[in-house]
Amino acid sequence: MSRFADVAGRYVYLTVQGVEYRVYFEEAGSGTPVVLQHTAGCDNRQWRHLLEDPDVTADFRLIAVDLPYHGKSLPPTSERWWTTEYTLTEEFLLAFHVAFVEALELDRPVYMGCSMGGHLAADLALRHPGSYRAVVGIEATLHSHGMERILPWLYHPEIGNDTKPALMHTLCAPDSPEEFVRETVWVYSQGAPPVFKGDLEYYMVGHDLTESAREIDTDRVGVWVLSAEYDWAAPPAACAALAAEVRGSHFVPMTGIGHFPMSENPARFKQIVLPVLREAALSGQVAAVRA
Amino acid sequence: MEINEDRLRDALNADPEFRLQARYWNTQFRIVTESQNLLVRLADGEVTAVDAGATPFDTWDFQLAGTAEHWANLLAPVPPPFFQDYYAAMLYHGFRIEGNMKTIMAYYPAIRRTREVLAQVVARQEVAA
Repeated sequence: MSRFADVAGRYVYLTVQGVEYRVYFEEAGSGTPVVLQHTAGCDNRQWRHLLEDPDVTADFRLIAVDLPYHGKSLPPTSERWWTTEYTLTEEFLLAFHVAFVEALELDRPVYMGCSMGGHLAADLALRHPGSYRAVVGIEATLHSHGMERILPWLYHPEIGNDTKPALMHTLCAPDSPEEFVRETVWVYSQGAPPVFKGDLEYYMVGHDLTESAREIDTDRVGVWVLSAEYDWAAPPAACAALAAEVRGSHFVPMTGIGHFPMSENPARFKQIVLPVLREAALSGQVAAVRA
Repeated sequence: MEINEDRLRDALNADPEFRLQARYWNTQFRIVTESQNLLVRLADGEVTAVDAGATPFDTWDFQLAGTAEHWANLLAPVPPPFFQDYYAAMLYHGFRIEGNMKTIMAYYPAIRRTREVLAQVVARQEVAA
């Protein structure tokens, strides 16, 4: 008898900033909706372990989306996108996620994202607290400034598509299972050439909550910051600095794990994230009662 | 910690991942510790020599340079945080990756792998001793 993954993929047409996109997402489970955002230059396959885990999908409807230009979400056919260099902006990301939640008619979902998606967790909590009951920022920090000079090397005609995944390999923890580290790296090798650099324009340059993180109201939206011990891109001190700025937020250290917890060490990540999701789901109930 | 130059040459040439990622590579780079200055020469992706007698007059494209503590942490069976790779050690611990950055970036998959091969070489030397 064949074995099937209990995960379904669909496309939804979204209009964001006046442009229509055909957006791919996968979902599994039932219960509190959780929107999952992949890292820069990657796609929703990073979340496959969580989507296939019945302990998680028993209580949560997990929805993992591919941003436009990522994974199966192709560039828009209405745009001459090949005449300009791909760049992701904070405004687009925010508008995209609000449109996605509305299109799927989700009732104040939990948002969870990693790295670039982690930064977005805090940005959504600041700018759209009414749309989500809670956000979970994995490897989220106030900003990631300081390494911008690496960007030209990440979209360079003389540098092959193996370099980006090799750099991502260095972000994984030495004790993470090798088969999942290699899978993480493999997925990274398949991003379109300009996309990683373009995404990092948001991650390294655009995102900055240094002056505004303290304005996030955790009475309206719960905030969790998950921080991995081996993540040199978002070191624990930087994640802790964000949590310290957001009164009422929760800081969760993750020992022995790297920048891609959900894909490089899914068993360890499940132990960490399941209690977080259960609490995050309740934070919506508290907000609803207050309203 | 002493790195045996012959064992390093043989280990790099025997490592399938390093050979794959070093394909077509013609270069020479230095591995610098407190007691050694090894010049690794590659021709078309094969390590032709690891020269333990390198001098300041020898040309190199890039170098991996650190203190004894750097190397001990980098080559530990389970490296401490931010010693899991040269790059992280450079950013947080003062390890040095220096030279032609285009070469370093283009061949980082092979450079990354040298740390794991070096760790294997050092571990085997310690067992043999």
